[in-house]
Amino acid sequence: MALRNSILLGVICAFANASMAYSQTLSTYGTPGLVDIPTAEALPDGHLAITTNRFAKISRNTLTFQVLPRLSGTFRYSILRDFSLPSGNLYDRSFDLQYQLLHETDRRPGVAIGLRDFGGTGIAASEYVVATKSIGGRFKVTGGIGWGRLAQTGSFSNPLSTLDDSFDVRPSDSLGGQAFAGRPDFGAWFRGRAAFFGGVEYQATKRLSFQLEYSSDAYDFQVQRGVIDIASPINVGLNYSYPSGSNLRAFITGGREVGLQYTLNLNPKSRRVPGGFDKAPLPMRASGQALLSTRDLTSPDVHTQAESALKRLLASEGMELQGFSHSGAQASVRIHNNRWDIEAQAAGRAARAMAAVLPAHITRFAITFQTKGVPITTVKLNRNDLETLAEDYDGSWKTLTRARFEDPHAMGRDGELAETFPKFSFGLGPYTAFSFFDPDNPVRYDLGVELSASYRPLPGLTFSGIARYPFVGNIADATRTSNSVIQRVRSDAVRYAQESDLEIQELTAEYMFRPGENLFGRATVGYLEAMYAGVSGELLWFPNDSRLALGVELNYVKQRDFDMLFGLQNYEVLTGHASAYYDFGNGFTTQLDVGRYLAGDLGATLSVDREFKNGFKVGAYATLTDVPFSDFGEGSFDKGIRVSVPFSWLSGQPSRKKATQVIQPVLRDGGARLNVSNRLYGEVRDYRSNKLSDGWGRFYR
Amino acid sequence: MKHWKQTLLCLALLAGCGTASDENSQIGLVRSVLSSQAAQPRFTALLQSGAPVLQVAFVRTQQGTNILLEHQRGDFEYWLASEGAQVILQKGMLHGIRGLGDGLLASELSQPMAHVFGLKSGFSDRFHTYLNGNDEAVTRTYRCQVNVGDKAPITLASKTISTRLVTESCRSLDQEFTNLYWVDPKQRRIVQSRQWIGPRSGYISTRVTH
Repeated sequence: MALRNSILLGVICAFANASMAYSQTLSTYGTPGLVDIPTAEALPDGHLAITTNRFAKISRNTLTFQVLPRLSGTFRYSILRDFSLPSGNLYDRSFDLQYQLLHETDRRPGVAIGLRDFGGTGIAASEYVVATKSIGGRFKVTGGIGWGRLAQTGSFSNPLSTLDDSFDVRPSDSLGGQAFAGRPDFGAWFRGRAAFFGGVEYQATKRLSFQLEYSSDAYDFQVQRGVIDIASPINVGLNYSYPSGSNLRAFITGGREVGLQYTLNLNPKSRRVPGGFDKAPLPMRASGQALLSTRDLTSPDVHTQAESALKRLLASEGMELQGFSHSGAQASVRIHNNRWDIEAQAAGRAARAMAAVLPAHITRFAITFQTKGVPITTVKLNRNDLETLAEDYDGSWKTLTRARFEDPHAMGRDGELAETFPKFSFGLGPYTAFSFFDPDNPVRYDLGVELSASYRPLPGLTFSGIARYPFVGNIADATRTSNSVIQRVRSDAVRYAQESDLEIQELTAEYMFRPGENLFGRATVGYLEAMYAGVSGELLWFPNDSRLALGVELNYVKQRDFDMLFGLQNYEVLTGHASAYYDFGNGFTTQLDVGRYLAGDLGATLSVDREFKNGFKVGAYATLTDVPFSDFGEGSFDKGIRVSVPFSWLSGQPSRKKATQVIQPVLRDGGARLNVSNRLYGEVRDYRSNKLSDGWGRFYR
Repeated sequence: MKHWKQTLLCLALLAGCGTASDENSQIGLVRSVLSSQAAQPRFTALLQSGAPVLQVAFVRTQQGTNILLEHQRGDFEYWLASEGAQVILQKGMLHGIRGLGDGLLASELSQPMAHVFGLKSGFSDRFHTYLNGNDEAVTRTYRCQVNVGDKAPITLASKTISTRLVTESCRSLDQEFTNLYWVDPKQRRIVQSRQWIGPRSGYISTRVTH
């Protein structure tokens, strides 16, 4: 017992040590920088930095993701207190991009170009080109030129106007301001007056650094509103990096305002515990050492014995045996994986369970992964390969090259265990729901109990329901009602919270099936989601080892009553999409959905995710439809970012659970999609060969 | 009035029951973390059947425990710890580790084994494959110098065994470690050792019990 604790301690220490060399100072805008000004530095590829700070009457909360080695993207939620009278706060959401044009070398500085607040309300809108050079081991010098807000102090006429006179004038805020917020302000970029900024960072010790800068950002607008007091363009900061890689910083802005900032650096590429604390797998047994090694599986007795031993061993590995059969030298199992988020690890454990039990005359293992009792993919392995490669130093890779992936579309119910169906299950537990960015209260929540139940009489056919009862929370306290000028398909969320007590979230009959090779089908009818009821049908084409998958979905739905019980409102709509999913194979996946949205608007959603092999995912999406920006309202069009963190990434314990959060700056009615559960791509992808191969490093874990 | 609600909520939070994919509920996760401290049925069964015992300890933290031999296949021994961790040895030399947070998947030890069990000084290569934090198997190569040292008697519970201390000093471009083996020259087996797992966990020590 003590062994594991001491190892855990050791791992934490080692984790700290591993991160020690790394300490990137982030500006108050949450991007690589000094105090306010940016520097030409990038975070390590794939890193995620979360920053929160407070100074004067301003606080900024930022999420920055190093999308590619040269490209970073930032989402920021700023609060400016008492910005407008009487005591009105300004809540501002903004996006930045920074591109590293040149990486620093011994001879030349690093150079980066950036867009700050390129959509949104534009109160921080600025563009810059910046260079940073390290001198000796301890100094870093930065200089740059900025436009927009970065040209409020010491500005001069735009050098770009030598190219074209139009660079002389920056369109005023009223053009790029609140009314049209939410879409890129191409017309203003790099226009108007320009100014220089610069600064220096001194690394005093491994943990402590000082920043001194001359900032051309004078907070003009904020000073006018009395939000901040700026007496000088000089800012100073003192940064302390914790061994874990997070930073705490104190700084003085404009000579008057003292601020404090905390930064959490995460490296999604690295689980907190790389090997995990998974329980030991069964040792790989030679066929001569298997439980039934000398027996003959064709004898019904032996078959029964094998089945019950497999059932027991798989259950202890978090998998349910749903089918067992054999034919000649091949034994086949159908399994449902409840535990392993890296599906290849489930395959590896199932294979070792088979090796521990089955007679020596069985030389081939077929493992079929099932979802809702429907076969998705079969992994075929030679028993002999496993015996030879289990202890090979390159065993994972060699096993993968010898594994075969097949599509069990025509498997029917062969060898299905009698007790697999019908299956009844239920769950009672807590739930939490959040609502973000309400100007009156940026974080609202509900906490309550959730009861779920499902009944599955046949493979793929599921009757299920989810009911919730919120006990405490303040989502229903929101007083802002929808001001939407188009059909209110989502923006009445608050009314749903206010007028409901016991909420029926879902009550559906769903059928998932295999219409043919590489094809998956789903039909769902009932109360599909919190706000809509109706019918939904979907077809997905997704060959094994294909990077491309294609799908179509068609729904006919009616809006549900605000009490979230059984009644329906008058609004009904035919909505659906054609979707293309593409896996670039380098960690990036993309999805394009084209079709008709809930408000009857036509358009498309493009999303891009970066998914690490350990399951950590960061992505963004945007939807453009034929709803004009002015009708859409605040934000101009629907967009958002999403982060998904596997529990196993945090805890080192295997689990299929993930913490997923979508950050959608504004919830409006344009570009809104039906939230039907169990869309096929998400259900199927984990067990298709590309995803299985991604996790194959854990096959022998 | 609100009282019963809070009570029910607390009960739901604490109890959280059901059959629905237990392992994937918050409660299931908490349960699995808590139960990880309990001895595993596989370990208990081995203990009752009187399986061979090996003493191991982590050098960095000085924490030790006894592990039991669960399975042997050729040169490979699978040892199980009470909480479900696994140490895989190849004739007593560390081959891989499971469930201890470190990612040592497997090793290729044929050259160092020839030196250690042949009691021959000289140079050899070894390969370690680690699982990195992104679930990729990464193989590293180490160049090692093996030195067969003087006689070093080891006292076990019942007897004293005369052994030779074999030192294996290894380095790669950015890592270095020194493994120590106390080898019984008659039986050609490792009686006691200190072996490097990886940069995270450092060294593990092993010692046979008889």
